[in-house]
Amino acid sequence: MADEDEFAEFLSESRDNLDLFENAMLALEREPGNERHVRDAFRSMHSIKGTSGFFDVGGLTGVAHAAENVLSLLRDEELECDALVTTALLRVADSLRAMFDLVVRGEPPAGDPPLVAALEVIARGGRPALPERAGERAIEPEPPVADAAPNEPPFAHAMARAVEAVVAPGDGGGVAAARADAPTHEPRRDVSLLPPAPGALASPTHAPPADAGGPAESRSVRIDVTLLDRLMDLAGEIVLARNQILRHAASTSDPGFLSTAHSLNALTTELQERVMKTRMQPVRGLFAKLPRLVRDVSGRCGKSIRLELSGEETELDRTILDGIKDPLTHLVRNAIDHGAETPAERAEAGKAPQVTVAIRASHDSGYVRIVVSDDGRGIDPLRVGRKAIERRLLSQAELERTAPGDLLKLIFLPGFSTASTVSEISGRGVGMDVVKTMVEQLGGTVDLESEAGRGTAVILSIPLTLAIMPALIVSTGGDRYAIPQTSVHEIVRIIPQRGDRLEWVGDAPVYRLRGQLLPLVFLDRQLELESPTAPGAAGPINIAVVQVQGRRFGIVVDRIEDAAEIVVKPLARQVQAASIFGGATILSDGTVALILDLVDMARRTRAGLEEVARHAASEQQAAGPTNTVPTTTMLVFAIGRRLLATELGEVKRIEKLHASAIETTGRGSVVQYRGELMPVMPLGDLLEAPHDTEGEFVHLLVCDRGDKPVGLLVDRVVDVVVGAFEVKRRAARHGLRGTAVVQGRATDVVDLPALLSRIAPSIRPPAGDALDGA
Amino acid sequence: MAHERQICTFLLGQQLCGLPVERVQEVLRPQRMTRMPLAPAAVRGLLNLRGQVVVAIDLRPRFGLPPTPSPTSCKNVVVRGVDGPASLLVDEVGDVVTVGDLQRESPPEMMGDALRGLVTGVYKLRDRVVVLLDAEAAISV
Repeated sequence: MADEDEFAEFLSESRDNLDLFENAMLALEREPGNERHVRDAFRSMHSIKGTSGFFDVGGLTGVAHAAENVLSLLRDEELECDALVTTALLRVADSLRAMFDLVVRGEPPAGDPPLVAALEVIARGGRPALPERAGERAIEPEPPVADAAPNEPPFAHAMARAVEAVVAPGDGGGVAAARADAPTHEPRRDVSLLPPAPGALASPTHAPPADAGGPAESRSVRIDVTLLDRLMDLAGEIVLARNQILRHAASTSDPGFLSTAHSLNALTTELQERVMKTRMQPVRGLFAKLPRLVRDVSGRCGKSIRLELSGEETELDRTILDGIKDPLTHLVRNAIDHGAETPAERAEAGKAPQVTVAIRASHDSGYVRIVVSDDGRGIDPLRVGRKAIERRLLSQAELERTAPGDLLKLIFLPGFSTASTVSEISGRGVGMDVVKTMVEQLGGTVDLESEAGRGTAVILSIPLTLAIMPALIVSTGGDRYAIPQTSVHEIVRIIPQRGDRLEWVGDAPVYRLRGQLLPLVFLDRQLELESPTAPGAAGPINIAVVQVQGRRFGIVVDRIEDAAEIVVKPLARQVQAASIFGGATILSDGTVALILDLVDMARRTRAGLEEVARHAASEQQAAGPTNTVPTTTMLVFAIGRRLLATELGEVKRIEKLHASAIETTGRGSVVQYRGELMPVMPLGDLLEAPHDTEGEFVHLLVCDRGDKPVGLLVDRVVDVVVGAFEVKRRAARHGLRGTAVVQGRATDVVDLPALLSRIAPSIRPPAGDALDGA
Repeated sequence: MAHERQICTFLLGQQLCGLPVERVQEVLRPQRMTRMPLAPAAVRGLLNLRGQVVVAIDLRPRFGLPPTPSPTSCKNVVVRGVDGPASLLVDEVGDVVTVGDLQRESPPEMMGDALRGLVTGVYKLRDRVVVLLDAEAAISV
């Protein structure tokens, strides 16, 4: 039964991919040379080929493979996409579609040798006559189709997807996956979300309760997921209204109003949680598909794999679950195909014959972490570097300067693949860059850790829900825009009077951030607003430093306004073509703000960013050995009248907030931080430095302690200084590294890791962390 | 028997236009709006309709009129679209009128390309003429 389920899923997924492929080819015909369409087409065909390889579907894989070959040549610009090539590839779609129809009827398709032959001739640079299509005599290049489906932005797409749900009233608890091909009117007690197409289904998780007969009938009701989406929207709006009321409550002393405000607060929080729960599903359904995948892939590669799954009960919004299915599949295939050694290789290395691939899901402060790890051969940074040079992603000089840890990140660059042979399983070049893009489109991040000979771990960090996310609100040209907070690294304010300034590389603006060139994007110019900021204007310049797809750049805005939890709304059809926006949101004052899609923005500005990167490389080269003096970046801050410093790298984030935002509970001080309660520790108490209690604002140095953030309270952040500092040890004092001369003043350098380890583990946020709109 | 229908009328400049009343969700006073950069010219902004983000569309250029100088001082006719609501920026909102087939004329032959597909008919009222628009075409850009 499970196999049938998977097979049905394979069919529906492949048909979707076929549609995507066809649309990409048609888009390519309209916009010849647009490499995005080529990549999209390649990716879709690659998925079809990849999954069809697992099922015995006759000649299907052969056709897909031949098509993928041609697409790979197009992608590498070794072949030009003209009418003949387009027609041939569209013919592939027809042929595959016909084969899928055969497969559905249970007949193994024989393949399409004439088409495969024609594709092979094309791949060799020939101009074959295309085989005739059934029911058609002459072969004409198809005219471009004007009304092909536009590419929907991911948010909108995810939000707009209508599926149906079965909801059990009064049972606010768990959400389980249900099989879509089960008789749909069969009553269920579980809250279940059904995929839209009869073929696409989630795996069975809990069986329905044994007594799901007569009495359960009255407890379940079918609800269209668009209605659930609307409820979700409304819950989000109520949170915003509640926040306004709470702000008002802070400035009133009417006890009646205050108590009403408090109960409204509690009810709203619960309402929001409950509504969100209706869309949540455990990752179990997703994980359930992996054993089969592992078995098939490992069988094919002749490797012995033990699969470990944990955290299957971890819940995620179903649109996000859908979104991470492909990245997860890619990662598992990669781990087996590239990461795992053969038993012989392992014996030689003195390892147990079986490779362990572990997939673990867990909650981590508003995010879900999914770690895919293996104890295979690991990734050799030098090999990555060599490959990057081969692929012309890096110059020899750049390679020599790149730290081994950074070399691993090259794997995320588009067009990178370390597999030396093309394999049917994880292929050539679709992989980590696609994984990264897909995860980032969900507002998540991807990290990679690897040790040669020991194994590799890929860490996905994914928001619990797409619908609400933390964002930085900025304004430009009089309008406000939201930037997803997960991508924001820091905020920089350039004050020309202090000698800071923008520089230009060609026509690309840059800023020297702690000695490194940071490419800049002027938001007003990017959005073609009427009154662009004059370059080099005299006033202060605000930059939000962001990182997406491994590219770091600064977005220049007029003002940084606020940090807020926002409810993501899809954009209407009329404006979906403006892909620079991932959606819209309604701010607490009721105005609409657009959400910037940084992935798209990075893509648009790539040429400029690359030029800056090249320039930075050649500049560093010219600077030569003088650049090798080790420099440190110090964060200088004050507690009371005492100046202290710490290495900036030890601080994850700096937050400025109103002193009243810190709440005291029975177990210490806490502050609401990204939807959770974060413990706050006055740093002065650990260093016997008295705090200044007068200030209206305080700063928190947010550090990681274990996997939880903790806020260290300081009175003032003074400056960030780059230089070579000699830290002189003084008589042993706890929590201090020693003293250094920073900007001409003797400054105590704090040993944050040592201090953090001293904080009692009892400082934990109180139970019942609430996801709270800020 | 003459087929009768109800039309919600509004002014674009001096042009009296109408939409089938069942396609008009509501009429709003001037709304606060957010500019939508990089959007088609007819999209003049986004407005918050009770928590829903709705595009505001200026039809005036389709009728050969200059674009409205100030979208935030126009009234909004919210149209029920197949893909959700969208708002038309109009200069004035008129009455709902009942018209019959006898009053109907075909759209003038020499109508420009911009209006073809948009105008589905012309109805003679007692003192003036109302141009009936296709709701879906009106909110497409």
